[in-house]
Amino acid sequence: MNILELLPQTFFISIVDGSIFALATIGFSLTYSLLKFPNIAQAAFITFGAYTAYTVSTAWNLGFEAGVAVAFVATGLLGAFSYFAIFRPLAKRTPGFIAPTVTSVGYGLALTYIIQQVWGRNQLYFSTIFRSFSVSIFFVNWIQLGTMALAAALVLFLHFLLSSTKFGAAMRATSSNIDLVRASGIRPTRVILFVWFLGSALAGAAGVLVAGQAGVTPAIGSNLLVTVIAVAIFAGIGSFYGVVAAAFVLSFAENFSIPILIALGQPVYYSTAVAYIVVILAMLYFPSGISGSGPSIFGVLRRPRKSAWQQK
Amino acid sequence: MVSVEFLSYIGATAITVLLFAILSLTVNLQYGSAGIFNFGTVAFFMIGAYTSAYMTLAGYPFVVGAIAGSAIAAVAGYLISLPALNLRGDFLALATFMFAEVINIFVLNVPALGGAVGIAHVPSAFPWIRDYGTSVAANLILGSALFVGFYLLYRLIMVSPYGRVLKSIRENEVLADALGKNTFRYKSQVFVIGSIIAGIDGAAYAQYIGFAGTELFTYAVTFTVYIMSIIGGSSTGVGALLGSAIYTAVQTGLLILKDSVALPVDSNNLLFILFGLFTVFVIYYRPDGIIREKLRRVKI
Amino acid sequence: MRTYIGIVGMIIVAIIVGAGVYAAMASVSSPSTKTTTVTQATTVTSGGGGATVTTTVTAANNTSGGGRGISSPIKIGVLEPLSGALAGPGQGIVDAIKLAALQVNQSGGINGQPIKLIIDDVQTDPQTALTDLQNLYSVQGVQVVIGPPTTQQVLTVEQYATQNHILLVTSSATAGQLTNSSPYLFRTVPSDNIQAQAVAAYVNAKGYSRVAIVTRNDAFGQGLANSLSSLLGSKIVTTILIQAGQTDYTSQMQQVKAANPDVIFYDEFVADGIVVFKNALSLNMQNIPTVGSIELQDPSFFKDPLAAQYMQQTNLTGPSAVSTTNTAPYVNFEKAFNQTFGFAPGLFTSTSYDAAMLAFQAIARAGVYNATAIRDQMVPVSMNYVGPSGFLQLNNAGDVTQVSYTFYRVVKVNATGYGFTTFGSYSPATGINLAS
Repeated sequence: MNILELLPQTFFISIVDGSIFALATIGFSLTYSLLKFPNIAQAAFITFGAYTAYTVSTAWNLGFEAGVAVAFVATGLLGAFSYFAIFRPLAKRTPGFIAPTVTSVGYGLALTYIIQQVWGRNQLYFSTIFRSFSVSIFFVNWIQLGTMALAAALVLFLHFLLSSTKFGAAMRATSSNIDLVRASGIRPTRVILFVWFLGSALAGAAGVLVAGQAGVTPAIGSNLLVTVIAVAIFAGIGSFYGVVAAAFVLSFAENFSIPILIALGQPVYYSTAVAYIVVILAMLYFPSGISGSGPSIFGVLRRPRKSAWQQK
Repeated sequence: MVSVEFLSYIGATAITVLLFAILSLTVNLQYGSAGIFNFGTVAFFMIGAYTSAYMTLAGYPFVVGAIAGSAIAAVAGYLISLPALNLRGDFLALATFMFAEVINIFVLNVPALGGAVGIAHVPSAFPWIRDYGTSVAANLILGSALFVGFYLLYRLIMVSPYGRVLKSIRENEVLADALGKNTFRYKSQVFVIGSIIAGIDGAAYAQYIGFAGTELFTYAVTFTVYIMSIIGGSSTGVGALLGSAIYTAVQTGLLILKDSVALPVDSNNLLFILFGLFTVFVIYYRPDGIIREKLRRVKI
Repeated sequence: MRTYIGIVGMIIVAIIVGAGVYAAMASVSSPSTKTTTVTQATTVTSGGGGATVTTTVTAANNTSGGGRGISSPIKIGVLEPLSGALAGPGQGIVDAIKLAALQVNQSGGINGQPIKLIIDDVQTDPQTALTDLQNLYSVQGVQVVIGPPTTQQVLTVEQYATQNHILLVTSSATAGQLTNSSPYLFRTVPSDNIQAQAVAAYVNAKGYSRVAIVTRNDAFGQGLANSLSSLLGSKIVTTILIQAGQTDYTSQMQQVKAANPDVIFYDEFVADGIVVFKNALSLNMQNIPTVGSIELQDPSFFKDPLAAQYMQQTNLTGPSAVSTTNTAPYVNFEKAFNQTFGFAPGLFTSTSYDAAMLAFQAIARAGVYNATAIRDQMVPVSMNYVGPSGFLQLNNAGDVTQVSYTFYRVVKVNATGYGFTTFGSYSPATGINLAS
């Protein structure tokens, strides 16, 4: 079996992994663009989604699909609650980005251990077994197909929402200029609340899909956290399309680096490092991410290559 | 009568507080003066620790190890600052975060650096001291001296004209640039100074524990240090110390408490739940930290 | 500005004064000893001591930390992972230790005094392990600790434990570097050097010539991979170190398949192992036989039917940390564990049970709650004890020197169930024997 024969399967896996990365990161990127801070508690939301799906699908025996649906809604509600109860009041008290970031660290920690308290420490398993089978040269698995399908559906839904609906326009407007939005009569709170709901719901769905492949453990979310951050930086904050593209680029980089590393005689473990290095390098050439998203309200602007006085 | 064990426990706790307070101090320095969000603090901490561990095991005295550690940390800091400081503040945070992860992965895979086992039996900075109690005292003096030294450096930077330029960069970089200051050079210098401090702190940490391992230098350390900085106040050096002291006190207090109180909730889970909620509440009620920045009145 | 300097100054002064007072006390204080009443002075034969243990001993024998008589209750610290990466085995580890304490307490305790366990969750974080150990020792007065679980944690706390004379008995840290690392460190789990020898012997006996290695990239896995590569040399066709916590390892497993091995060696814990096995199964790799480390002898793997199927179809075999599962101590342990906690004992449970039991017995023989004296009893006690993980026979370097290892193999127990059988034996002295 030579290397070339493996590539189609690697391609397939990259798509599956990329779908998960995208779902997990869209919410992170959207909330970042609206409230201007990285929500580290996203990891806990991902974990929450997996556990909720477990309860519905396995403990109450309602099936995996019901589990995904309930996880989607439940995690969305958790996200909305978090915004309402914690991040919105905090934003009113203090501007800036460090305070909510550090708060999200503490909040995520508390949530993860509450989950562990409620569901216990041991690894849990879905009662549904996802069998694999071969389709011509590919080895596929129902959960992987489901992941791709669900991700595609959700991405299409979001695309439609953002581009063709008034609400989507309001979302885009709120992310770039919140005062103008207020001035035109739309209440930003509602928009932001909905974005938190949606972003967290997507994270919850990602959690279920991960758990479907890897089992339900309290560490699911934190395992994905660094990848989520990498995808978000690579994409440029706030760009939905950027996130989708970035998720797949990084997934391909990570998966395809494995055969390359082996051919070079290097440890395969570096594959995750490769993905991170891609991100870091990209920042040299695309400091606002591959989507080139605009400046943040935060106020620290990019250093211009020449100062204003020096430019003709 | 206070026992020897108890005093050395207080001493050991104080040492931990001081070593982490120094890291918080670098946060306050970089964020407080120039508005730089360096979320890769642990990377420089790690570089200093590993370099010093390696050097002292090769036979060099601690001072040489610390200098070597700070030198390599400085070089790393400079190299990272070149591309990173071009980024928006929040992006810089995430980029430095990724950098720290890459360094950790790299060290994990290099057998000469200990790989997954780490570097054990790191010699103490005071190899002539055999008694535990005395070594605690010695490390306490070392930790205090380092903190005081770095604190004075921090104050020097902040109140000097140099510091004023930094603050102007933090407030409005475009204006500073327009006034002819090479903002990039200033920010880069602060970044490197912070890296040096973290590197020396890492060297002190490695010899205090006697070990350097990849799991001691995860991103959790950076988060911890930022929590300390926020709680104590990110605009003063005392704030860094206070934040570290409060964090450690709460952690220790909960640890002692959990064994004394019987609750329906598993005490180990409860410890982390309470700790997380504590962070949320403290930041909510006191978002600028306990010690706030004094704004100077300007007479017009 | 002045107030700040003032505050800082005061704190610094306080610290320095405190340190000065402290240093003065430390240099004066010799081995302070507390109560030293002993009930069984006659049984104590701790080396290097006086004839009786009732008197304050000389500095050479007993520095800070002092001997304390066996006062009630006897506190035993437990530093094990209740959350984090090792949470899976962690619950079983803590339960096994609790079982040991329960059984001893039910039959009267140690020399009549009850055991009290103080359990701290150290996850896999070394700094937490150190802080918790300092708390256990200084605040709770604990001198005997079961744990910590990982090699890096052990190495982090080791200097503190050695300087303060705290006995550490770990039941799960396998790195070769821990051998003889500290006089106060013992472990009831075989070093990975020994495991690797057993694995290599098995591979050679079966005539495999193309070995693929798939392990986690942590102290457990790296150690085994390195030892195996020096033992099997050119027979190894590929080594894949994986990062725990990924959703899917198909890309890595593809590389293994492409290297065309005739046997694959795995070192995984349940969380990542299940994913790896499912991926291997989906790539149709169930025709390649497999060999496992001691960590794979864990019934928790069977909770996932696909992983279990892969393990059974590939005849997963490996050296057993549990000795023979047919021995009376193991059978009794399994029964008691099941009855008390309601689930089958998994990875590291028997080594943890034995770690606790050995520590309890050493305390009893020492007759005094003094870590140095207790430590000196660990080797003699282990020569008289056969537990669920076998006849360990600890040596002074802190290692298990159990001479003979059995092998486990995954088999189908009934239509849907899986289990382990044990067979054969290996010892460095007499070689390998694969008969049932």
